[in-house]
Amino acid sequence: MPEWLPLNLLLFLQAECVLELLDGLQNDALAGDVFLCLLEEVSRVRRELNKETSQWDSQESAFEASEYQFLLLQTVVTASERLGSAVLSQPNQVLKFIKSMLTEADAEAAQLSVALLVMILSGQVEIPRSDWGLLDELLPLLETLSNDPQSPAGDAAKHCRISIATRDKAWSAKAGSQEAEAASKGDVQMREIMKVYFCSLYSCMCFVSQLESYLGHSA
Amino acid sequence: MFLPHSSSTCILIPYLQVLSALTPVILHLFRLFCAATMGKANIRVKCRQVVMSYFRLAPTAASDLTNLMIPPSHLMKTTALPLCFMPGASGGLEVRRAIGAWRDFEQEVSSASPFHVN
Repeated sequence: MPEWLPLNLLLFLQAECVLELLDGLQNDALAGDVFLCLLEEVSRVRRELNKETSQWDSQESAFEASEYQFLLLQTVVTASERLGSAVLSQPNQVLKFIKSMLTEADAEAAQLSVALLVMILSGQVEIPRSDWGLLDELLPLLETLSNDPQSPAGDAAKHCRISIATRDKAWSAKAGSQEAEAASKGDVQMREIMKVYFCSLYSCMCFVSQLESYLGHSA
Repeated sequence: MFLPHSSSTCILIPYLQVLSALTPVILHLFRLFCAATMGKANIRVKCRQVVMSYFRLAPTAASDLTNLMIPPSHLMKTTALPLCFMPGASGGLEVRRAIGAWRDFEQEVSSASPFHVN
């Protein structure tokens, strides 16, 4: 049995207890915020792990950080399974989620994120004006993606950039009659898309984290 | 916590009172809830109600809940008294004072006999 398993079990239990509390609170916005906080932590640890080996204090601290990442990913997988597609029900949370995924170097995560953004920008989901700043934050990330000739999502990223940059005129024209209808339909559609999205993305993340752990322990 | 109402009176805001009372002990209450969940102690339901009341009111609920979930190596140093809860030898729960500022996870898990994972 690996040394870290007891800690792993206890944290699994703590995560389960928090998820039970979130179930009881029945507050999708809060559940979404918790989920985004977890993703931010995943990104932070990934950035830390991408440091050069020489920047680590010792090999032990590098190992500790990779073990921490593994536990963290397990927590994210558990949370996504338990909270399901309802977890990101608000447009601002979905946009933060997309930003978090685009920041990752993973090509598949970027492709799925762009597909989700295309769906949002097509007008199926109403994005309140207060959240437009979040769209602006995506522009540099989309630019990087569209300039990458290797990326399969390059063209879609380019279209998203144009759509965001010209949103003032395009979205104002649509405002009014379509918005109320789109908001109600879009909410249902977005949840369904998120469900598929979560399943595929987190199956990948789960697999990668297990593989990393296996390679780490066998090395 | 009071808010000025007029020059001579103040209004008591109950939820702020509840929050300020629960904030210093919420970590321990959560751990008590976890231990009760492991051992199915009767205190579990009441404990859940109290913890849920806190997270209904707390403006920092999202970050607090996240901090309770994520692994401790980087940040989960115990606040105030380092306590841990575990199933007691004659039923119910036991509270123990942990040695040092960090939690002894192995001790907690090995004491949690009702919680088995094969």
